[in-house]
Amino acid sequence: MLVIKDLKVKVSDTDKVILDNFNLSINEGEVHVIMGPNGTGKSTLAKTILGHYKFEVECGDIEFYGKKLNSLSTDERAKLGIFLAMQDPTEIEGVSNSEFLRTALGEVSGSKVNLYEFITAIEKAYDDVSLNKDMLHRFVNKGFSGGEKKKNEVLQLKMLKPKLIILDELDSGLDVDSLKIVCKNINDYLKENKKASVLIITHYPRILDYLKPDYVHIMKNGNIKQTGDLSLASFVEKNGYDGINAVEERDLNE
Amino acid sequence: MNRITVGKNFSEEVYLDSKDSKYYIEVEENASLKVYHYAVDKSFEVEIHLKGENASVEYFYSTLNRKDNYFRIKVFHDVSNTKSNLVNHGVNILDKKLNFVVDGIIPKDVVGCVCSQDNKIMNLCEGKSSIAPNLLIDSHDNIANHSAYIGNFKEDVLFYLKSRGISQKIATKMLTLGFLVHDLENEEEIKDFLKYIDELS
Repeated sequence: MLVIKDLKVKVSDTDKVILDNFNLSINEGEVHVIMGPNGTGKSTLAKTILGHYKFEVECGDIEFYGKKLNSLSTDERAKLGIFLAMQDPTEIEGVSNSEFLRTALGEVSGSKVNLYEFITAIEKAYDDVSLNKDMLHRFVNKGFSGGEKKKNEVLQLKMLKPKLIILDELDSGLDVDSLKIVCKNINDYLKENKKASVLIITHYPRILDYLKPDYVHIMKNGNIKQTGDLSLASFVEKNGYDGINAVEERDLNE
Repeated sequence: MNRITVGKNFSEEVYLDSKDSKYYIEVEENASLKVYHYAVDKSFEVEIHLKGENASVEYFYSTLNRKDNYFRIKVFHDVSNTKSNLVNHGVNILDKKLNFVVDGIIPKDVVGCVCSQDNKIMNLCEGKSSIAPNLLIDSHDNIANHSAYIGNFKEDVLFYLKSRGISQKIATKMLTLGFLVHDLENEEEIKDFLKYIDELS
């Protein structure tokens, strides 16, 4: 589904390299998690997959179902079925949630959205994520709490039905109850859409109590240092990311 | 010149049709006026006098611009305890000039007024725009504030919209609509203006 080969990414108009020799492969139906300390390039990776304007691919490829994404615009990538639930969702003054979602749905599906079907689906989605339906008429993320913004992201993915979901620090700003609600919605989505995959980006293993990964990757200095299963996340929780350093050094010495 | 007077104790809401290019507005004691002024490719001069105590005006100017144009508005707080709030928004579509000159005037010995202005111009191309936000306050004990912004729609906002599959063109239309239209409840009053936004490419 998603294949990233030898990716090198720098901040646009600078020489600052964030990702270097980064490789990752995600198949249909898999849940991957990338963990790592601050400033290691996790969010850059998420944004680069969507073609964020602040980052430039120097070399390497990102492919989605065999299609090279490098030269595609952000909306073209989203239309292919990639969804990024953002760490700090942007507030958009003057654009209501309802207008935004209806437009996005029309753009992604390529057809006119039936108003009755839209209202029925979105009201259910609001109930599912425990958000007040009045928020539909408010400006996108404007005046929302941190938790409401994250729930709004999950609501959008339920409506847009992506093939690949990227969750960038979904757990930040969420209390335990809200985290359970959003993770339940994502798990329900994955049950209904067996081929959908998830890439979770996080500092903390807490989210992994609710979203079970098939693969755990530890990222440092712009690329993946170690890959394992859920036990690797437990190792990090116990020993910190410095513990991974110790393992790396030990491996080198051996 | 088109003259508008709001008599004592009246409260009015008007839509300016933009047929005239000059407006002279008077608001009398205890009267309030809300103005929605939607314009496309035209220059205007507006003079407002708050003539009686507790008179207030809210003025929403929204323009779509493709030629060299200006908008000049002056609000005179002629007496104490009057209030003005000007919200001037423009979207400059091509490489032309759009200039706002916005004066809030409180003369000597007039007190207890609120004089506010918010001015923004979005340059979608390489247009040269300017804003002169002037607060000419000759007296203490008044509240006056202004803001001025010239730029484009924020890249982060465009990225967010595009990350949901919305094209640059549609995203720009949505943001233009949200930026310029303050009162979608009265769609019929501004249907021509909405048509211009819809035709943006």
